[in-house]
Amino acid sequence: MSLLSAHNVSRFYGTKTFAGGGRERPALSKVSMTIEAGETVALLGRSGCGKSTLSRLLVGLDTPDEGDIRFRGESLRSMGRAGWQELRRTVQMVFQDPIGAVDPRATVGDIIAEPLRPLCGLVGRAARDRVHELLLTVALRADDADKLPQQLSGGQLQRVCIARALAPRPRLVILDEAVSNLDLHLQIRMLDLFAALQRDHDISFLFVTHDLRLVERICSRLLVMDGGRIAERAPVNSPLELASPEGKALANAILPALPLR
Amino acid sequence: MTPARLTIRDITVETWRHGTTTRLVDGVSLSLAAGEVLALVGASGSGKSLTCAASLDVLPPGTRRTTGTVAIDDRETGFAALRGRLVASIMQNPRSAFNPVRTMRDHAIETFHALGIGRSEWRPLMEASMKEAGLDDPAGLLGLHPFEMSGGMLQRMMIALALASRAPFLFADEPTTDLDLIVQRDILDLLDRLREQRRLGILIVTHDMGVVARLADRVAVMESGRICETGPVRQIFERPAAPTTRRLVEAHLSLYGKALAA
Repeated sequence: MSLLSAHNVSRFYGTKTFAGGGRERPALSKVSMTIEAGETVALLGRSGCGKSTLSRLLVGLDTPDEGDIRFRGESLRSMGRAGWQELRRTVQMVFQDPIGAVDPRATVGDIIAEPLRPLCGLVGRAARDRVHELLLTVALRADDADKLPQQLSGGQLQRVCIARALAPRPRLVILDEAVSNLDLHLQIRMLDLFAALQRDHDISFLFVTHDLRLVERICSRLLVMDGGRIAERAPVNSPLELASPEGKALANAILPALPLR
Repeated sequence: MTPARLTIRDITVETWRHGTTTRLVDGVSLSLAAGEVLALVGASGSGKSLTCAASLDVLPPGTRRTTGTVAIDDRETGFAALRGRLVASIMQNPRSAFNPVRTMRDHAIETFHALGIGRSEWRPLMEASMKEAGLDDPAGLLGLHPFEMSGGMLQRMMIALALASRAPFLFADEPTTDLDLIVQRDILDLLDRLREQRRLGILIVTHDMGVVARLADRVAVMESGRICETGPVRQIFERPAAPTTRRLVEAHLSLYGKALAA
């Protein structure tokens, strides 16, 4: 049984008028995909292809207009309270914009500790210890726990968000362009961290990105999206060979490793 | 006559807090020739953007320039005289660089007013600049607000406004960081073409060595407010001397599964 899966999922965005008219644009059309325990899948595509919409549907932040999202085989539409509690602990998400993803008045320690009480029942000393451990895991310092978001750089804050996502020991983490705004050596450090978590704890990752360079490093297979549909499904080999026009366009846009002139 | 060289000498920028001053940029000198792309690279916070801002007299509040001069073809000139007239700028986040309640036409008119360009020139100049920046339907686009355009179109519009100013030099501060890979490639191709055809001198600030490899002729590496190494792009990639440069190039090459030749 898959950890999380989408079955013929569609989502329309558009303006609705009181008369019931208005235009609707499909952001996703009949998308099906699965994520198994312990695998890392890349979801690739240019801006506006529907990859963020799909991620939001997968974690239950939004509901599909057609089709079904299933968590361990059970449809989110009919899942009970206990199922949702388990989904929220098991599947975590890291967003692209860290500043918009944290409470500006909470300390870093509080931000990371937030999921610990409701999802893991950790409070007080035990929660504090876990926060310190998580800060070190993402290459921040234990005393960063007392800082406010505005005292950190964008890259540091993104690592706070990664620590928060790891806090409840999830089985799947969805990374929506979560490393694109980090300096290169930090990107690599985070990718190595994800690879280690996958190896040692069998955690799955859905890696949403437009940067093919990062995919080869940690992913075992990839999906290319184009215009709300899945254009290609392929295993990740080195060198990466993509067949669909959209996959080829993404591969052609990779910047050169060495100077051309 | 078109200027052939922009020289920035000994720029120092400081900030102050509770009676102590901190140097953010420490004696930086750069030289940019017409038709050349100079990449200014370094980690976030190393002073790249402040160096550009100090050269155009647009430092953020709480910082000040304490030393430095700028010269065009070895003739010293005022900082404010550079901005807009001799050096145009494009910025990282095209969405926040435009006024959200103004149309593209309003932005163009503001630019023309600021530069004192005569009304009869506006239309042909803007249309030609937009076409050169890869925007095919100038008349239709000029009526749009920023929210009606994609990030790539807005970045092209910012480049079109820079071209309309006829400035011979361009400062591009992380111009493709917020764009997806395909749009990034198109914008870098466009900048390359402008260097070639217009002989534009481009200073590009970036932290992505892939962008450097694609576009730059020369590279200046910054660390903690100072330039630690300058050289032709091949030399920087093949024989980096400073430890900072080495780290940058090694991290970059490891993404491609390559190592630095020893």
